[in-house]
Amino acid sequence: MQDVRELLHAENIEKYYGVADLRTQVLRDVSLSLRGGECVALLGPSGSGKSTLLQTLGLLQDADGGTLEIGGVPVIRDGKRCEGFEDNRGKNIGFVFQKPHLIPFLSVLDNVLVSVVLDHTPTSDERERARRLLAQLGMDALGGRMPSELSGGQQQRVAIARALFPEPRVLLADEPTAALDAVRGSEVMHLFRELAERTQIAVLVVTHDTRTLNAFHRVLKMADGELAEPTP
Amino acid sequence: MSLYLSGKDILADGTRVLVTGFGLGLLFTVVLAMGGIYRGMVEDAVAQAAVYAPHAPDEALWVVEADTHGPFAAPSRIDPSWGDRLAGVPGVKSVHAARSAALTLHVEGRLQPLLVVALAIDANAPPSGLQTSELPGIRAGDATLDRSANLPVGTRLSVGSEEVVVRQLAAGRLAPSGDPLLFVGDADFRKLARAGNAASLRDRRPPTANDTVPAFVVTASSSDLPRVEAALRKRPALRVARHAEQQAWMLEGAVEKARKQIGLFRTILAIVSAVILTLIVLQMVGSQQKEIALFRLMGARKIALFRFVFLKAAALVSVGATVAWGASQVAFPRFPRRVIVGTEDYILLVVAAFLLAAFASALAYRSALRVEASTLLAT
Ligand SMILES: Nc1ncnc2c1ncn2[C@@H]1O[C@H](COP(=O)(O)OP(=O)(O)OP(=O)(O)O)[C@@H](O)[C@H]1O
Ligand SMILES: [Mg+2]
Repeated sequence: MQDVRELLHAENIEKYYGVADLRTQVLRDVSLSLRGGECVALLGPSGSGKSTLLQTLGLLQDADGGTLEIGGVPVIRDGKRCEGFEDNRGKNIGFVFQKPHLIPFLSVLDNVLVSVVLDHTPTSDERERARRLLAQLGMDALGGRMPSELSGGQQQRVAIARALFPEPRVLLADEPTAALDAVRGSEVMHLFRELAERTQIAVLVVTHDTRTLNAFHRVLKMADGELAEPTP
Repeated sequence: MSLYLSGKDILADGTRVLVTGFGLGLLFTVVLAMGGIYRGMVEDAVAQAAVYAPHAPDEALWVVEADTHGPFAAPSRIDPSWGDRLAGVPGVKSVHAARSAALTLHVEGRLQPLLVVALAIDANAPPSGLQTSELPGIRAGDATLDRSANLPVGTRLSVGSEEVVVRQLAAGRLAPSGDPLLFVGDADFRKLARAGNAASLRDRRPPTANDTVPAFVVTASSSDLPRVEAALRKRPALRVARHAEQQAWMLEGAVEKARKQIGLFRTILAIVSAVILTLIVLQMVGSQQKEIALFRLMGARKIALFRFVFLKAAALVSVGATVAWGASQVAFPRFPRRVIVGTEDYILLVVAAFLLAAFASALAYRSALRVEASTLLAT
């Protein structure tokens, strides 16, 4: 039974690291689906495989088994990423890492616009949309600065705006608020939820901060490479 | 195609691009200089023969002493009386005695003597390689001197009691030795040569000229030339050569070795420049792997990534080529020997530099794509 709003569907994802005796299984038979409009948290102890799962779902690396469909299109088969996954990734997936990874030679605004700037000089409409995104993250005054002139938390908010700008269908964020204070962190989580509801994208956020869990529709728990039943 | 991203990148990295480009430019300059020096050597070596250059390649013959490669590559002496005999050969249009003498001249008002090679020119029937503006004039004592001597019109030059006055200046008229040529009338030439010999004897130097003629240049219409050539070949005292052959003799000796030497050196320099440029581009792109990984993650098309890499390399070689052009304009005229660099050399340099930049960019681009984006960004 296929849910029409299902944007991401993963089945039996397996992932190993290392070879021979050192080979350890990091993801065990992970299956999950994300629907449009929902904001989901992924919790779990350190080393349980959360980042690995996110990178696999985000098509940053191959898995060793399992399938993944994004918007009904298969993108991982038998653990391997399908032909043309880069296009799919660029169009459908937004990624926020633990570190902001901003482009040092671009201004804050141009960093948000990086997917545009790779192709053409941004139009005034595109600039306006980037400015609005920055404003939503409380960064309206800082668009002209260079990344080196921002605090870590500010940089991370730019990275979030950058991931959201291409309007992906799935947003994956790996501890995006680790560098933010509690208030800002909670604000960002609520922004994710509001975004999911407003634009009907699916958001999956790895977090350690149990205080912000009220921002999420669902919470997934990961332990030792296995995904626990979602708590209602 | 958008230059926006690359523009920002290059501007932010401006100092490095400028400094590295400057260094590359100096390397390019040396590569250019090597070619120019070689060209200059060839031009200088044949410049003296060019005075007698025919209008068409097959309209002149050089008549030299039998068994010699005269007059420039080897000593050749022919009796002057041959001049009239050659003129009598059917089909011959004109005969020029290619007389030259290396002279040490006193320059009026100067202590330092001037070394020249004097050429006897009949202003009434000048050799075809000379322009009217270069002729010494028909008055006794008039002379034309090459500009490389750095002397103005009106300068008096003398050897012993003989004197000539510079009336005209010529350009690019040099002896194979690099000394400027001095064009004087036949009578003046004789006087200067004799006075020069006397001075040489006094200074215990070997005499510089005598009354023999090193070579005659015989012209004939191209249809008559084979006939004239065949007739002259019958004379055992003479050797006959086409103008091109004469030039080849001049290049064979010293110039040929120098040419190989410079050619090899230039090849090595070109390879060194290519390797250095490639390494610089690889290093530059290597230092931006994280950025490139992020661009890939943001869905950059391959062409956009390649453009990003290539435009940076192109900026580098553009600075390099500009510096090479500027440096060669400033430096080459100051070289003691002629350095001949033409527009086509600059064009070749730019084309080669950009091809090289494209090649280095392709290498760097491939190595950047080989790295998994996740390994760079996930940590
Ligand atoms: N590139 C790698 N090579 C080998 N082992 C790895 C690699 N990356 C992660 N691991 C291992 O895989 C397991 C899961 O790592 P992962 O980074 O997914 O954990 P995590 O749940 O994100 O932890 P944290 O909360 O600390 O970020 C860990 O035991 C880790 O040591
Ligand atoms: Mg992690």
